Amino acid sequence: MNLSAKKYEIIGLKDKSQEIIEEMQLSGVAEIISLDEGEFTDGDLKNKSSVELKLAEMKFVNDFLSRFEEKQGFLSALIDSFFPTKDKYDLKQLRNLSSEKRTDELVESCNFLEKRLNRIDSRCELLEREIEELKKFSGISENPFIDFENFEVFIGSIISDKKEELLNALKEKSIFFFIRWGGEEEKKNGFYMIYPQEEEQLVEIAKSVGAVQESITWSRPPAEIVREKREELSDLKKKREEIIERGRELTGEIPKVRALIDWYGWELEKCEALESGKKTELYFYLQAWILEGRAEKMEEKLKKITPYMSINELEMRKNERPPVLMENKDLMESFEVVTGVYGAPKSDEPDPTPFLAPFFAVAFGLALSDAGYGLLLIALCYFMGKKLEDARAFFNLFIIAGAFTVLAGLLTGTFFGTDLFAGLRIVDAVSDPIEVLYLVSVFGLIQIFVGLLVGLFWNYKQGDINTALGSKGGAVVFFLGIAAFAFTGRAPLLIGSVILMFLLNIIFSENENPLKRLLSGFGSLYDLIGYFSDVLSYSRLLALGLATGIIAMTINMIAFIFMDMIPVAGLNVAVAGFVLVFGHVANLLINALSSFIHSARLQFVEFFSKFMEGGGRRFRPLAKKGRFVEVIKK
Amino acid sequence: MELGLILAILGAGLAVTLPCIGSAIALSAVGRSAAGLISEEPEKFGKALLLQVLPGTQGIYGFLAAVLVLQQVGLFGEEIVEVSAGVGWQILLACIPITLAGLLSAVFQGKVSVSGISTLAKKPEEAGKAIILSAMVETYAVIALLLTILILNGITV
Repeated sequence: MNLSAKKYEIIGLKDKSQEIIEEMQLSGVAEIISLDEGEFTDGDLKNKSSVELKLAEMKFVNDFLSRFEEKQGFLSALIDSFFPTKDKYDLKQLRNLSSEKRTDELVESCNFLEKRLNRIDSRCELLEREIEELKKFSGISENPFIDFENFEVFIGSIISDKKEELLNALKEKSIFFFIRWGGEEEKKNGFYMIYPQEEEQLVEIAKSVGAVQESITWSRPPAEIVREKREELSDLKKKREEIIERGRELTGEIPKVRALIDWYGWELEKCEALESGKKTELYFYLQAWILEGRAEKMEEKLKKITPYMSINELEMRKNERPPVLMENKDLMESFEVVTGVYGAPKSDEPDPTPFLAPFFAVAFGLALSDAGYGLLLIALCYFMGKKLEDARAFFNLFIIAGAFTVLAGLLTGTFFGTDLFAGLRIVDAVSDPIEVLYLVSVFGLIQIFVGLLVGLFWNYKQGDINTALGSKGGAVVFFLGIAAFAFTGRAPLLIGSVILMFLLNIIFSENENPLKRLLSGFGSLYDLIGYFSDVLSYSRLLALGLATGIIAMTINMIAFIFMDMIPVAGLNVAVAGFVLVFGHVANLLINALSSFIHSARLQFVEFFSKFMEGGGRRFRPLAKKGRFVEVIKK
Repeated sequence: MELGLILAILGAGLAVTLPCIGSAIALSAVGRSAAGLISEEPEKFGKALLLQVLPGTQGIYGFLAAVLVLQQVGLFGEEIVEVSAGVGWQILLACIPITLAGLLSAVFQGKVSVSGISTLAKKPEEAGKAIILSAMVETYAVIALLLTILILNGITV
């Protein structure tokens, strides 16, 4: 059901504002309204800046230490990305944590380590680049840049294959030269050549063979420089390892740091809540949406902090829409997952969750329609629900949907793509898809009819009699006409229902103009095309059911083909077993995803449109709900 | 080999190949933008993966149609059935809906999924809506598959 919120003003002693907001956060029933003319003092700003600084520090420490955290396995990382695990803390523990001096020391250590790491990394990068440049000369253990009178030095490199060619070309000239090779690097040889000053042609010859001049000089022999740089690099890498080791040691603090990220996030929320209101020297003033029936209880709690405060209900402005909170209990809560994907209804619309629940479950079952897959889905979700308590509502949804999948599987007689339960089969989707097409179409008709009934009831309840009896009532009559025609086969009943629908739309049209009223009647006939396409849309359930079943059959066939093909006894069973397990699990996952999405779409597009528009704003109360932490009461 | 059987195999081949190409194009586009997102926020991998696999279904639908064809002509472990040229043409034409709709809808669904990655980056809590928007495109591949199945079901070999 939809819980509506009412608008309130909260006035209290400024000195107690922090405690009052904290209590509001704990109760989780009030959403602060940001006033355009909100005011804040220098003190508020200072407080907010210090909280922001703390939050930034904790985020920095978390990011820094996460680098050294042990990497999660693929599966657990995947599960964690959907359902992050939260540590449990009570408020006292969190408060103590925020005042621990060790946290400041941790920030300092991380700052220090990060700076050192950055320095080492940039130095290492520089050294690696320099070594890379010098590597091809690392065999040269003397410095050629000595002032030889009348001689020049040429520093170059050449592809190893052309070494001989270069030497021969130089020797051909019968001019004195001295060449020293510097070692091979990626098939390239570095060298230096000493030649008479006036014989520049030797350089040209070297270049013509393919030698490239290197713009590099050394003050000392390259072998020595490279050795020194390598030693420095190795020392730095050792130091880097030490820092990483220290970082790893500090990863034990990550849970606390993450708890503090949530804590300072809440503190910031408090500051922003106070900023949204007004202040005098002694009092603060806030406006908030408070869930209906919860204001009195909250006021009681706040009065315990200070008797000098009050909560008063305010008139809503014209066209002002309160935020909406959907609240369903027990198993129905699980179906909020589906509604949640669509978004909240408007405050004057019904919560669609209880209405969609049975249809979603049946649609999912028909789309997956394999008893074996249903059982596997139930087992997987039961296990996951036990493991991840926070996501229990989500997994319960699939347990219910799994149960309907088992029923649909028995109806079509499929069990992991086999005919094991063929005896129970009522319809055969593979050999007689038309029969299943009728079945899903009837299911669609029923759901659309229920949607129209909900719409009729809701419009009537809201006092919109014209819409209730005109467009909705007319459509309901038409659907009743279809049912009467289906059961009796008498066409006049169907034609009569269309005429009655046409008349109802004219009679209850909101237009005064008779021509426009007549147009409303014709408009309702046009709506029939819409209903037809809505019902056709349910045929997807047949296609999805067939897809699951036939692919499951194919997996079984492939497994048996492997069994026959592989001549080694034992190995053939193992391969066939692997194909069966991997194939069926993959088929289940892919088709469960498709079944969820398409069943949800049937609710959003074909069903919701009959009684609601959606687009309501979700109620987002001040609350101590964190990304990493769950607050527990002690 | 008889012309009928050649046409049936051609139909099955096209039904797998073109939707698979469409799915591969779409998955690669979504994968590239998802990789960009994950480089910044690796914790969003699961939802990004979900958006990426969505346009992969068309390839499976094509495969499903092909399996039905292969079963019908007895190429799946049974004895090959004699297929007349007329029936071969019928099977080939039956494969056209999923072949074309599978190819094109996968590519276009991929584009919606790529935009969905932006939604995931900016408002991760609304990722469900992005998934539904992407799935809307798939509807037409489902309808095409349904037609292919119904026609194949009506062909007597």
